[in-house]
Amino acid sequence: MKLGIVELVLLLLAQRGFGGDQSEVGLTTPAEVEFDVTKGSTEVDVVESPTKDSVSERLFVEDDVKSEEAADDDVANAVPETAVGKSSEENQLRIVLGSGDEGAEAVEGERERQGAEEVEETTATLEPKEIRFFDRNNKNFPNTEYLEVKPLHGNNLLVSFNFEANGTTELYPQADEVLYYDVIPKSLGAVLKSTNTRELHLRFGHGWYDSEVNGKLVHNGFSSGGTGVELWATIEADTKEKAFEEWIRLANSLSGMFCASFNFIDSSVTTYPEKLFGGDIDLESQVDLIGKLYHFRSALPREPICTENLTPFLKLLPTKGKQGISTLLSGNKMFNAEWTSMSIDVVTDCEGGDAKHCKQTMEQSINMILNVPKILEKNQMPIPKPTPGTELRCDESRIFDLYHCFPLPLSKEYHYSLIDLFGKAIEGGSLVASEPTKVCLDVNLANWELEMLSLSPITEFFDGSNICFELDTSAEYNFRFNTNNASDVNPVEPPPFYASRSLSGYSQDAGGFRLDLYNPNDESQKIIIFETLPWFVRLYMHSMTISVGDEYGNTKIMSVHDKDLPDYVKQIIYNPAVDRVAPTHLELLIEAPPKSKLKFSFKFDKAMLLYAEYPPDANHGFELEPTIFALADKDNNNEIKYIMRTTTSLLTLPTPDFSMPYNVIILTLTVLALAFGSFFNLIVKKTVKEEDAEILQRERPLEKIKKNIRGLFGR
Amino acid sequence: MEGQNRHTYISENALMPSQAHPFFRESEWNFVRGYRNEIISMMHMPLAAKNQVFNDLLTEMGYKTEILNYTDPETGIEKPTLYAIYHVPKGDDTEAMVLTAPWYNPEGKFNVNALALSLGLAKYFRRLSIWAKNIIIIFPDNSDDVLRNWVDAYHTSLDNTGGSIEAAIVLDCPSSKDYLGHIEIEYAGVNGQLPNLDLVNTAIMVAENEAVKVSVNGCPFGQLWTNDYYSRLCSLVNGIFEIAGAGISESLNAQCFSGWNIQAITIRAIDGDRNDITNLGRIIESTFRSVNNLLEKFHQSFFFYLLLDPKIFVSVGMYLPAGGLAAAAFVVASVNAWVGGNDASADVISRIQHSLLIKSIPLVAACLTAIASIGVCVFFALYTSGIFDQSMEFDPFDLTYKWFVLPLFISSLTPVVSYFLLKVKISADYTRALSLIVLFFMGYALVGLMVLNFPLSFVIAICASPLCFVRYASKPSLKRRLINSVFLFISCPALWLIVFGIIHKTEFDLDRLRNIVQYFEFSLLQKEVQNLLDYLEDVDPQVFLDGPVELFIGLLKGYNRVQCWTWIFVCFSWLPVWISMNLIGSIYVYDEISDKEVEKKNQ
Repeated sequence: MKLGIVELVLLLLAQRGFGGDQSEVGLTTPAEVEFDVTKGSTEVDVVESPTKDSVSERLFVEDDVKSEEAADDDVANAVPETAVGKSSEENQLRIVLGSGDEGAEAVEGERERQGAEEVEETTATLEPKEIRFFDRNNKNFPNTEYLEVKPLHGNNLLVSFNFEANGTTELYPQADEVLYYDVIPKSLGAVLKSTNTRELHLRFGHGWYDSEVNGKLVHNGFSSGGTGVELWATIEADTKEKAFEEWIRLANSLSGMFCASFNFIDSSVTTYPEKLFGGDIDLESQVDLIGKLYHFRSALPREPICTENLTPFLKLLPTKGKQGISTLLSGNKMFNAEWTSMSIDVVTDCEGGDAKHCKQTMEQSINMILNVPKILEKNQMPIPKPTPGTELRCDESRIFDLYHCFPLPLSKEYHYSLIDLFGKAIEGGSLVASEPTKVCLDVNLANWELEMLSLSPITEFFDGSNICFELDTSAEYNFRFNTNNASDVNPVEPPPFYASRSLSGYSQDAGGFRLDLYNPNDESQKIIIFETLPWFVRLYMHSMTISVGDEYGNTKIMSVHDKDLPDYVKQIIYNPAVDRVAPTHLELLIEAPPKSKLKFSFKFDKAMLLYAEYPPDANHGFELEPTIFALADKDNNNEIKYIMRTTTSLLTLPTPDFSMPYNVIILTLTVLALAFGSFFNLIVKKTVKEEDAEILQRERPLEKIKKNIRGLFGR
Repeated sequence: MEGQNRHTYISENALMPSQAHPFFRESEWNFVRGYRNEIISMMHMPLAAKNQVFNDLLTEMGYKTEILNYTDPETGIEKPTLYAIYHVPKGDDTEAMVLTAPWYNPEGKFNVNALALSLGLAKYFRRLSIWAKNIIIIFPDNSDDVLRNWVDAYHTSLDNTGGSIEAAIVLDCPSSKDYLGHIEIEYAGVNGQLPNLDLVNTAIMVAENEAVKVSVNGCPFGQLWTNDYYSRLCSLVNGIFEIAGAGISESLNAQCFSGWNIQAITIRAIDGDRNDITNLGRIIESTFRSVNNLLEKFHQSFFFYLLLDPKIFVSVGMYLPAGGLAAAAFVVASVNAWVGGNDASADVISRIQHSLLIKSIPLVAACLTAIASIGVCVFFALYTSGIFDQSMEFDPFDLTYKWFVLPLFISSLTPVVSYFLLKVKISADYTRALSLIVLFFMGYALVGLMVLNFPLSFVIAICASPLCFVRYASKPSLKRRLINSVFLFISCPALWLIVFGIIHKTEFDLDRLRNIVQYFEFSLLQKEVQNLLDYLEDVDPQVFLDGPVELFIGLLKGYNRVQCWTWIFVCFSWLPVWISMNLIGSIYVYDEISDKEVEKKNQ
């Protein structure tokens, strides 16, 4: 029985993890809890059934003490209000709490639309309708996690954390229906439900990705973001206006949740993408939807990504960063990486055609590129003090003595472990996952040696060039990499194309940018370019020129009027900006000939902002969000094979300045203009008496003509 | 002098110069020496091979390198420029700082220490994790057209870029010793676009913290400690000429970055033994770290200044009145011309009583003349600016003397010549209107220029001021015409071209003059005169002819090289006004009053 309880605590943990809402726990009084225990007959079944299962017993016998402690710790961490001792009674209580909580949550979720406060009051008194536990035996925990490590050239290391959760959802729940937040935490799930968001994609990016060294982006770029944050969603609504309202609500809710400035999203930064970001799943063809689907996308390139964005990310995980691979993720190590990207994707898939049983998937991933020598050096010497003379690595074939040292290239011999890289080891595999935590290391065993350091036995297997491990206990796992030739790594797949963007501005009022694209392949590729520019960048599409350079160095320059243009630009989707209302949205479908270098250049004017539109805080200019390049399938333009983002660009706008030199310019020129005016008057006009003026006026030729005309009409 | 200048201060608090301890020291010095040995050993390799060695070293360090090809249009020699970008992990890849180490400095010396230091710093910069702005290191063949070409290409056509450049430092340190005396900071920018004073201040403050003496405006080592009126005046005059002449001389250095909104300075190490080479490295490190701290742009009002001393500057409010007064001379002269003061034969009082009005036809004719002369001169400027880009062969010597100096000198004699030959009369209103218009135009143009490029405006205003005194008359005397000729001659652009050309070429040292004036002693004067005589004896007289030619060619090329519009401005204001005043000074006018009197008598 005790084991069962321990397990249930763990299960509970899982649910709490998914539930994510802890505030209600404290509201439940013990009396009600008891009531729940006695009444809920179904719970007993659930409590007992896992204990009968020998497999799960064995699993927990191995590390009962540890897991119990871990569980208690976790509960204590996750649910501070209920964190009490370890007695079985209280554990029992907690079980009940969990189920009660679950039911309450379900009800609450359903009532979310009517208002959250009201629900909170009623939570405690509601009787749970159903208790759901995940059966460890049947492995129906909804989530999995997976870590991938791959050494790259230049002593870089790719580390990719992947978390996935699968569940079912109902597109149109009835008012009295129970809702579950077992897959998607309620904090996020309720927002998605209330805004009818069918798909949600979030990207956080930081740093510069060197595709020449690091090759293709991991997962073909589908889980990588550009600098700053990016959000796109598919929202179901009756009209576009309603959908937009929901979009703004969604952005505002996410803003608080992820500590990012999503609340600055308004129509002037929102685009309605066509080729890209149109949703991963075509729900409209799967089921009969009540409303229509609308796609929205927005990016905030100014947003710095930091720990405050990581914490909410971890909170969405069932393990909350306390167990499994997510224990490695700490802000100070993660943001020391050369390049970091976080992504969250929630997708609804109604493949069966039944709107009541749709599959809902939440994928979270963190990818990063670490520079190993840098990290090791920083561990050893946090302040970059000069290397002591005795530790200098000098080329002895050149002049080499106490004063001279020609540095040798970096050593190729490295020994490091996860602790060196992340400051700690993996604190056990996730025990609340449907399958054991998987860690795959893509190393070349010819020159690399792997050590697995753990108290617990581990399953290992080969998966292609990967060596994978399954972490199925809560013991600590550390991996150690030893190599005598760090440059000998498994082949890195080069990206299908290289692209970048540069600004070519030279004045305060106008500028331009150019997109460079290189297709290194032997066959032509169809590439979609997605560009969004803020409204104050007044793009001139007619200024677009394309230069195509082939491998022999011949360059062909074309303007928009060129009749050869359609050979390269297959399709243009262009929504011009509206001042303060909508951004420029440009999508180009182009065909890059084999081994060609394409250069697109555009010109724009910079608009003057209103005084209050300049950011109030310190700023160094206005960022343009990354351009997105995507490789489309040859035959099906809508199928995207690879996607990458350039870096942001910094644009200087004409800034009003009321400082002295400009005052001087304005003042002196005004004085001179006045002087000129009076000079001019004195030169060309003469002063006459009033009576003379009348006579003179009468003598003016015009007056004479007028007089004659009047005479003609007899007046 | 007190109260007219201020001590420099850091306006942008975020810069925090020399607040952090720079670690470019100790064993880093060994690396610099190691690199230096390597650089010396490859001194005679072709540029492409040298670039390749550097390319490999920088790639190994983790920089992204690329080579920009450049062919010298005059000689046809290929001068590829290597540059390396460190895309810093913590930045957003939108801004960059540039360190430039040309292979050869402006004097043509192999820039050994600058190159070694740049490599050492490149290696060291990778160790620091503080960077928020990208670092770009450039190795052009020289710091003139090759570097300028790179800067242009960076903003127009380069594939690999690292964001907008915030600050740039050009290093000039050709010695191969371990030690250096002091550093010289050059801050002039083309068209009066100085780097932000905060950057200059930062570099100076950092250097002083490293106990390295800094000299600005070419102040000699011996004057670094003085702080009196004469030394500051000397420094000020040097500074004014340095800025006014920016973009014209062959060596551009940091001026290559002008016009792209980049704050750039040149740091030149002067031989000596007061400091070691890592001091210079730490100055660059610390300056970069300060710029790296910037959250905003550099402060806007800190672009207009004149440095008297590394720590003393005159701000725009203090020096503008001087330029304003100089330019106002033309406005006053213009008013004087209007009331008829330029008419040497007429009594001003009677003129004013008579009428201030100018008849329409002479006024329109005067306007057209002024516009035509300006138009012709500007066309001339634009044509001559592009003269070296066309594949026509020009002898610079002929161009200068045959086509510019000589015609102007001869035409400044027109007042005298016309006294004897040409006796055409024209309405006095016409000359009055013309002198009024052109002088006012000159004043206006100079004031307009003053706020942008004070030194140039000031120098032109002083040089052209005799134009205010050119007179016309109905019955001029030969003496008046001679005076006109003299005024026209001493305000002639060609004369000043020769004067400045020779001063520049012979490297005239104002400091010596200061020394004589300040500490006047007969023996000192005697010594300097002796020096001068010795110099004149030794020097090849060709130098005096070459100086103006070089200056003229620099002026003509300026626009196409670095978009320096000094020549265009001269042709827009000075030259047409000079031509118009020449016309005024050479012409006879009807004596209206006396003519009327004659008419009356006839009646």
